[in-house]
Amino acid sequence: MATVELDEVTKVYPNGVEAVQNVSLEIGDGELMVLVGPSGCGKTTVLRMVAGLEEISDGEVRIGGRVVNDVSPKDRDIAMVFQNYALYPHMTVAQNIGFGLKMRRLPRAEVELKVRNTAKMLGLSQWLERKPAQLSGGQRQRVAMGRAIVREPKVFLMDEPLSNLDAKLRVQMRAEVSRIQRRLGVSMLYVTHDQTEAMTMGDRVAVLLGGVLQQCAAPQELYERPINIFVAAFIGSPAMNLYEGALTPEGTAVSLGSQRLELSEEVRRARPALAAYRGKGVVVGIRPEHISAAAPGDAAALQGDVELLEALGSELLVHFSLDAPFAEVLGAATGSGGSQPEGDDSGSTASAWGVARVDSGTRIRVGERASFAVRAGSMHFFDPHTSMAIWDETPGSGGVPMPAS
Amino acid sequence: MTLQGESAATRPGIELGGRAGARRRGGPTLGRRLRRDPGAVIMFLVLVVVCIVMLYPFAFMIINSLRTETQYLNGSGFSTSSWSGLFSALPVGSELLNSTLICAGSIAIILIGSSAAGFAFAKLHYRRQNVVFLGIIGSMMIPVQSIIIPEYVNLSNVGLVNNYLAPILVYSALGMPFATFLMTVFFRGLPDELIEAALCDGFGYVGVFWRIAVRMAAPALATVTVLQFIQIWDDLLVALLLLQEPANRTITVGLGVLSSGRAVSIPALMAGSLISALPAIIVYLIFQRYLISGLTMGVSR
Repeated sequence: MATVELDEVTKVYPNGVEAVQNVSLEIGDGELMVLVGPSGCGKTTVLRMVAGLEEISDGEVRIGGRVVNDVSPKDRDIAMVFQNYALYPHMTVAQNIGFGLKMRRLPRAEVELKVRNTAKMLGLSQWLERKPAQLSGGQRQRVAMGRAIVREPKVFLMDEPLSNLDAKLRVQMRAEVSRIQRRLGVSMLYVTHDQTEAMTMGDRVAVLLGGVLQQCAAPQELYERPINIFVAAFIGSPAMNLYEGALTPEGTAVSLGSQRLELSEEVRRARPALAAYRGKGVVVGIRPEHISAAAPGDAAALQGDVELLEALGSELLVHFSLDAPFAEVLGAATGSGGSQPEGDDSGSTASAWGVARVDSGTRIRVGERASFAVRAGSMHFFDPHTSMAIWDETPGSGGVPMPAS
Repeated sequence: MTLQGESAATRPGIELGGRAGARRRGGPTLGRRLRRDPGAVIMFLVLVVVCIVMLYPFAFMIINSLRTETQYLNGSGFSTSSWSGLFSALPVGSELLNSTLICAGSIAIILIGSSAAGFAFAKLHYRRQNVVFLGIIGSMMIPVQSIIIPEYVNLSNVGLVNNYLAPILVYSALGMPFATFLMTVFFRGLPDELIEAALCDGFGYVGVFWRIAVRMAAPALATVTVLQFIQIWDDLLVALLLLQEPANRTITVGLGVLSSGRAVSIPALMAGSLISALPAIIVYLIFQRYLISGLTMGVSR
């Protein structure tokens, strides 16, 4: 067990592409850190640099306090699980799991014992003599896990290990990976593009975009206090509704197109920095789960035309249109269930749409004009120029700048 | 690499049941297919003709090797005298041994060299890699006839003429470019993650090459072996020039000498050709199950 520290790590490829820019991150002893971001954001490159499979252009990687920039993968005491499992097809399950131990010249009896124990833990005991080709996807994934676990490394590195599994198995394996990591207490760096996976598994989640670390925080904090528009749009499913709006000169309400949402004293007090935006434009973010069918007299309510209903059993997703313009989200191939078009013109006055997650019993029909109550206390405000969240700090400060589009 | 879909059929508890399953297991009978598909009839007839064209020389060789000169001219009767004549005219055993030694030596060098080079071209990255690769591929276009004289002079200068090493080195050099190309294509098809997993498991690149890559390269290695064996075993020019002592001759050179004598015995020549062809057929039959996958590798992933 060990900590992993990345200190201003940069990766520049020979063709000049800067895949990772000054990423600093510390993974605590026994912590499960998830790296998440859209395709091409540099998350796998970071992982490969920790593994020693990619040269580090600048900065330092330390494992257990030792600088490993020039240490070969086999001497870093790490174990990696790959997206396509990378099992040796000519070996049986037992040989695959025990191969790393055999290479370390452990006595055969000890190797066999460890392989048996690992297989038992992963429910693979009856498949030990099979070849990978004779296993299902889930079983292969477990063998890959077993190969990593059996060596008792200081750090586990996981590169989207669940991406090739079907949805149901993915949910099952997600829990299993977390359970194993907690049981073994080994530090883990886990890469995924699926924000649900990141939120459910990570002790902390690091969000990357364009090779730049945007925010690293506990899942709940990422959800409740995203540092910028990208993190806000990426975390959460369905994605946050983001609109161009403007604060009234008194600062007591925000206008979205022709509509107005009142901001209570409590909301304003929680965001002192908002006062600086009186009479100015802001980006307003509302999560679908913070929108519900309005009751008469609701202060913060939006009017919208219902366009589509998605019944999920326990709840209902309501897609509605309104006349507020979309806010632009850089690199917004959002985590999952994203509802906003990428790179929509921020100055557009065309009507936008929103998604509300309401109770399945809500009586609502496609085509009708409905009133939606917004939980104003859970609204998010962002600076339209810097994309940074507006909370209690000086506008636009304390965060990570968005990479150039 | 095995496709995901293959695993379902071998997974316990999953069986292809009913008539559909039976059809999938065995397929329709040949007769039923021919009745249903006129294209298949034409294809079947073409294949029969091709088979006859391919097998006729073998049948001719076998039948006439079992005749005397007179029986051959009359076209009837059988005798084994041509076989005894062959063994008294040629040191068949030692010539077969010479051919085997030269083939084995050349193929060993080609397999080691081409697999190592193929792995390096496919999985290691270094400057000017493509230029070197193109150079090697380009050398496939040089015909052996154009370089055999300088080769002879060089080998003669270092005293290797009439030494087994001379043809072994020449055959290795001639076979290496195509074998390297084939091995590079194969290793390019191996997922990088497999190599990286082995690196994390505790290997250096040499270990990855030897313990992982080579073990998985059986189809490619078998393909190289078969193709090179047939080429080297059947070659006359190099062996004739570089192994001039009668004791060093290969079987092909021996047969060449036999056929260039004043009184050529066709039945004895047929018997010799049969003996000469047999090893190549045996090698082909042993490795044929790998040959198709070896030749089509890289076509799809």
